[in-house]
Amino acid sequence: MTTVEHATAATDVSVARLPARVAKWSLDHAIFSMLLVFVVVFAIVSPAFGSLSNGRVILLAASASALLAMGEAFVILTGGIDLSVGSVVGLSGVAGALAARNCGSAAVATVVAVAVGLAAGLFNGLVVAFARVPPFIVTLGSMTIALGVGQVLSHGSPVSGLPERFIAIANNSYGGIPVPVMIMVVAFLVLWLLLARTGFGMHVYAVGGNPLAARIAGINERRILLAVYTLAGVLAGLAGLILASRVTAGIATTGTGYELDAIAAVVIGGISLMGGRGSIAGALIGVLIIATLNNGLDILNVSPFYQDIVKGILIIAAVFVDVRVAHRTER
Amino acid sequence: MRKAAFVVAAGLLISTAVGCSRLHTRVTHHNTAHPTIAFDVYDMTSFITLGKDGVDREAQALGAKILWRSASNDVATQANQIETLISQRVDAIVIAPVDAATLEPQIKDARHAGIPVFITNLLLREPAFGLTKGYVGPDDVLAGEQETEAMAGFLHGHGNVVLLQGPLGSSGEEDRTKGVHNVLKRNPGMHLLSQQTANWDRAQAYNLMSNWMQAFGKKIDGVIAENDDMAIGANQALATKGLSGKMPLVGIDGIQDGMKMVQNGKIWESNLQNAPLELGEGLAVAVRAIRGQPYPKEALLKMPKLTKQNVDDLYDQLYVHRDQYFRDLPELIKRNIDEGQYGRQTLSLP
Repeated sequence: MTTVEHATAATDVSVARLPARVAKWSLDHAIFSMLLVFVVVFAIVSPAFGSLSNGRVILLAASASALLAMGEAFVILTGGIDLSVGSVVGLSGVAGALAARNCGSAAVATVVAVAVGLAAGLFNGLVVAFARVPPFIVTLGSMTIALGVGQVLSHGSPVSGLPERFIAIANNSYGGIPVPVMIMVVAFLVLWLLLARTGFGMHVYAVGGNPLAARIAGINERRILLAVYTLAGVLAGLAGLILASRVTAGIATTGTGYELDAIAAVVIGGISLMGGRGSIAGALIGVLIIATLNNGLDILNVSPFYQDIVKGILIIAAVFVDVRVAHRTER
Repeated sequence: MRKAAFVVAAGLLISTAVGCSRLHTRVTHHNTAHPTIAFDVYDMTSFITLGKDGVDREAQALGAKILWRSASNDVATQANQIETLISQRVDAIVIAPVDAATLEPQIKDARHAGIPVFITNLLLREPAFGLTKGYVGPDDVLAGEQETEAMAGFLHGHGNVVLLQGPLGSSGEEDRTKGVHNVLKRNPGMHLLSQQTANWDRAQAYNLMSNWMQAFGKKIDGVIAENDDMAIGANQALATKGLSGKMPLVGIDGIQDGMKMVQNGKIWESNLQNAPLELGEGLAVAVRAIRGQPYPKEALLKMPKLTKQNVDDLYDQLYVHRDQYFRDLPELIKRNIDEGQYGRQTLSLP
């Protein structure tokens, strides 16, 4: 029964047992503290980091990654994984750029990019939920398919010469806040509500925490799986649109490897790869930690090679904490 | 926890809203005596790593501080890094672009902040290119022409060739292919059997060359590779049929392995792209611009031909007497820029 309790505890609803809630809170608190420590340390060591405009730079860098990580968080909470989100970023960026170039409309480009992401996510969800192929295999396959389709559509070279209106999507600011940052914040609020305040969110935790119990409780596991992979696809499509606009070209290889960054952010954010435990805020903070590290280590002029080492150590350390807390929760 | 996340999000948003006004103020106080100059390169390839030594040596001579950033071949990473460099208020940014079609918004931001941007090694397309202050890079069209002229010479103007291209759409591939076709047009006896990309890569070139040998058999008389790595891959494929060193094979870049193969006659001709000289001149141009000294808007380095006759001298200079070469490099760079002879390899030779 511990796993069932564990799953419900993670939903943070009132039935949760107190010790589990305390443990979870301290875990989240540890991640949040880690972000604060990085910010404070970098700000002390380097005045350039503390400059206010640098905050804008960090958030802008984090925005597309945050969309991917939050989508990945939903999938991982169900105990699955989505390796295709990176390639879907490239594919939807290419599709959006082609649409923009052919009809000059930013709105049409947005719809096309998001629709392509949705289609990719729907495909993943259908095969995972109904054909019962393991998510790792399905998304490994669709990762390659998406990259290939992107290369075919773009003839292997960047789709550039895009209209100003398309480029404006991700390069405009309102009141000093870049549009991608606004999208990130809105997406976070919506996804947080969805996960923490709706029945759907509770079912996502239940499916990941204990699929058998979820089935017995009458949860339609297939519908939940279909929904989370589609959601991850839509968010990847949006991220692809933002990146294509930001770099002024649709390039099929743009998102290659981003799926691993998204998984890393999710893990750093304290979401269990086994499913059923973690929060959407954790995913966002995971992304912010990585973006802050990238930015801060750059400003401190740490060699790119050492930066990779630091990030690797951080991921392992985060999971170490995660395992310890999970162990404590179960006792 | 959620409260914490909201506090972070709100705090960062407010701080950026306040801070953005500072981003648009023009920075005019460059430290001209000891400028801080960022090199944001597509990746730490062997070419860039070799060039880094030249930049670091030149920086020491000019009193500049260099910040190295590697984008790991990711366009979004490069955009983020440039935004970060702007908020750090470096004195100039030298970029080796990941992709020719990108970076316009970031270079615009740099201009607003009063930070000059220079491009090196690979080109950037318009409109981004028009926003930069200068370009230091190889004359890739000429390099493509030189290698094809050499091939025409080996084949006495008559024969069938295949062409291994760089990644389609990269400026190196586009310009080198243009140069190759320029010379092929002038030589009606030369026929191009096929051209395909092997993405600068040895293994891909090996596979492509093997397939071509299956497809065309003995019809192939010569192999034109747009860089040395692909020439090396093609040579391995030729070796399986006992053709290594027997069939004319040309390349570009003069990487260390490539020069060795010119020495032993496997690659018949290559063209030297001298990384320390090229990137070192990139730094020198940026520093001159900051100091208000005259500088070239476009410095194209002509690549010297590498043949069995001259390769030993150039190899020894770069790899055997390396310390001496780097000691004299700043003087060479200074004279090259002053005299407009950007591709000159040494002061001691004519």
